[in-house]
Amino acid sequence: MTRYIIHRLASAVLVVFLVTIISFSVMSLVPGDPASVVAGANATPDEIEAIRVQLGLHLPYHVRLVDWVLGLFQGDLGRSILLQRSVAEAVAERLPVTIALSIYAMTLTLALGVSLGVLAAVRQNSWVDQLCMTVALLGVSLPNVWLAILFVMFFSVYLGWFPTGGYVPFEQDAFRALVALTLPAIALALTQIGLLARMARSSMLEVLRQDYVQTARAKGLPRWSVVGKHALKNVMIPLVTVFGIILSLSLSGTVVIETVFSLPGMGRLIVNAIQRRDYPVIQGGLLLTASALVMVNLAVDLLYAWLDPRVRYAD
Amino acid sequence: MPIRRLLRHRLFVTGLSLFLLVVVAAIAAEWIASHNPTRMNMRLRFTAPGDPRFLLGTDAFGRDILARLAHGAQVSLRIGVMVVVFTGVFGTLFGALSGYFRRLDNPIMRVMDAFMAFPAIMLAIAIAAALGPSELNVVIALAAVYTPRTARIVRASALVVREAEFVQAARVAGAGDTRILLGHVLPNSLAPLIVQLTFIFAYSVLAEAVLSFLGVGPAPPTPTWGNMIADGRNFIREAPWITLMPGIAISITVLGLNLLGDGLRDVLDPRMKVTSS
Amino acid sequence: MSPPLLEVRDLTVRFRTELGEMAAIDGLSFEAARGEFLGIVGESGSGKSVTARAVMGLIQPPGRISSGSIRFAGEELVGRPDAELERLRGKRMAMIFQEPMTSLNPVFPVGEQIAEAARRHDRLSRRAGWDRAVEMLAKVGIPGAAERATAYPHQLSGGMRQRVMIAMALVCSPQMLIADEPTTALDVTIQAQILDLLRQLRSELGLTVLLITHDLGVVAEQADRVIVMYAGRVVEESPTASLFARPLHPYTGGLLDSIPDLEHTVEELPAIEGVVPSPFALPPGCRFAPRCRFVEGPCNASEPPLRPVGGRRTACRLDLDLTRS
Repeated sequence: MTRYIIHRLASAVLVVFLVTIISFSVMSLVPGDPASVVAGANATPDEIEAIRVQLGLHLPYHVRLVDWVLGLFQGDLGRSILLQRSVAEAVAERLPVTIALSIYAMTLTLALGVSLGVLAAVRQNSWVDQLCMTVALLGVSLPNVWLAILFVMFFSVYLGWFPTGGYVPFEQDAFRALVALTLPAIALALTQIGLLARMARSSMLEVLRQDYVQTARAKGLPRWSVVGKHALKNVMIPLVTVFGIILSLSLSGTVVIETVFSLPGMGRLIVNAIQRRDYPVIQGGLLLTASALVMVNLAVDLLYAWLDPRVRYAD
Repeated sequence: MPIRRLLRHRLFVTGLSLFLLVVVAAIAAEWIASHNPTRMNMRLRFTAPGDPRFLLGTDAFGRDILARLAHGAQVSLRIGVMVVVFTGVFGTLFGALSGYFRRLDNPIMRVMDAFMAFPAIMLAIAIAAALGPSELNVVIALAAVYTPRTARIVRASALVVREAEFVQAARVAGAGDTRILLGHVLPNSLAPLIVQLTFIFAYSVLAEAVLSFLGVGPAPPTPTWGNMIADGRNFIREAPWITLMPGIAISITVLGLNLLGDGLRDVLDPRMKVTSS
Repeated sequence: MSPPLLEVRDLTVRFRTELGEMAAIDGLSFEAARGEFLGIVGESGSGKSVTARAVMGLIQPPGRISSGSIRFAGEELVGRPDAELERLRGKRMAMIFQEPMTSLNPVFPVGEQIAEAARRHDRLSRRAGWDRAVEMLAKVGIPGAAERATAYPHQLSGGMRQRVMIAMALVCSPQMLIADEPTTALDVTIQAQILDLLRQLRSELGLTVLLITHDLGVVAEQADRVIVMYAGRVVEESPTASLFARPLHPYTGGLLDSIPDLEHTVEELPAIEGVVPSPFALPPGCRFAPRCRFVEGPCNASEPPLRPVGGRRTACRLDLDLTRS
């Protein structure tokens, strides 16, 4: 197990290093002159030059990269061109919103995704199975941007049950905060629920076919114990590793959901920055998001190694 | 040949029908939609669907929704096919090399991991925005995002093949690496690869819609399903069909592809777990 | 003579498959007396495992018991609701399986897997259940039982895992143990140990044992009586000694012929010609007729019933002398 931990840690460090380079380099893909793109169509050559110096674009690539990385070690993510604040400040403002939304959506995903999948597997080929899997299929097939807009139209505008958008901080009014986040969380979670339900069903079916399930039945254990104790634990342990994928999808989804519901979160921050060429925010935002995911995946893999006795007590 | 079994599989057939429906609509765009998708007619704006002249209605500029839908289908399908081709080629290349040659495994896979560490849409938006609004750039962006997933699948097959006894036998008999790669690794990766590429086509359609919605896809006036949804958003109360129609189109396409993928997986490789990345 | 512990009458188990419905066992009848060691012998596809699972009530869709009766200690089992059968399983009749690695749950310690049966059936507390588990592990010959009980299946050797399976099966002192190919997946030396263990436990606990195997050698040493199955039916039933000395059915004779003999060298191992019939294409008469050396006309006309021949039974119409030298 220790070998495994060391190996995973080393990999994670290497991947974060590569992620840093990619985050920085994405903006170098811009064809033509980034400075004039940022300055805009009507800028004078002097203005463009000023921006070039401001962005440090007059320095060669590797110098800029090293400068940026050294800055990172000091906690300096750079300064936003458009927002009049440091990238770190901008992120700190937006992060709680995205975290709240993500946690809400994750809870829904885990609860409904696993339940639907397990239920479908235990009642394989029945109408329950077909229904659960149809819901799951729709979840992964319907575009969430479209669903989000439809939700707003139906539940907010037509029924008036929910606000059409905007964020309410929890410190201000916890109940209204939850209400404001409900539609976005549901819209965000639908794709993940579908995915998780399909995986949970497939995993459960596989486990139910195993010999040890037959042994459990032969011992005279009741059905709830066979499924809920013996089968379920074998399903949940590998399913833990899926958490990283789900979180990644969720963060992708926040881009769209925060836009449609006007939530001031990380997703919207990064998208706006990309649309408006705010390089420091783009670089910082991508780096933070990707690094966070690498850490989460590492944690998840280690958790899995600890949970599965075959890895934990490997000879 | 598994083709007969495929045709008997209900999910596969349903999926194929839905998908072909969209393909036909795209190919026949000029014929089924008599109107020019970019022609504006302010007097006829916001016509509701069911009108004999405009079967699916018109949008805020009086443009025919059906025509725009059909042309949007062309864009989405073109992008989907190109992403699948790019991802297939590069994914197989990296995956096979990584799985087969031990010394290449770590470097290649760490790079793949690094790309996969970014939430897919975020990375796609960043790359597409940097490169500029065009179909090709969307393809490049999505290929960069999805190639690692394909590489993983091919690598898994390559690993298995590398250790297989018949490969050791072949090597003892003098077969070179190229022979083994082409003759054994590739054929064995084919089944899971096909399934994965089908799902990647589905993700591409969804991703392209998001990119277009955010204004980072092919530039207007090209109609894409994504920018149609964005256009209709402001008029959701007066003319909901502007947003509704493209969403239905995307749903049908992606549903069809997902069913196709499920069916293929059941027939070609029933032991494959349901993975989405 | 006390009544038999297990009585199976005309049992038929059907399975629905892509090619249609077939009968894995067809009109099966046999008995097991209290304290008896009964061997059930047959090749793959003969239906012996299905028989075991049917007795335990473990047949699930797409399989079903379509007709027949299974009486255990006088109680009818066929048609009983699962909840009632659950109370019998593990408590009064138990089963061990062929592959101890996959038959034990990899994520629970072995002690827990034994203890839960005791807690469930005998209503023991956690502590008492665990103690009983450790006791059983010691009883099946596992050294350092108290420590071993916390181990996970993958940390034990194949032989030890099978001992754990036996401990798990016997923890509630059942009256009957069904062992489905318990030694097939083990090394030869371990096989002998496990079989000795079974014999020892049987005499200690007065168990009735049903040992299912394709290996006649295993049966020769341990069993009191042997049932030979072919294509879903019983073809011969006999006390062990007489089965080996003078088999009544040609199939049994063929099986015995193909056992290599340490004392005589042969050029070629005799094999029974032909293959087991597919359950979808059964011969009209005796199921073994297509492969039989002694086949005559009437053999193909109708299926011969099991008939008694002095304390034994055979499904062959003919009175053959297949005495072995």
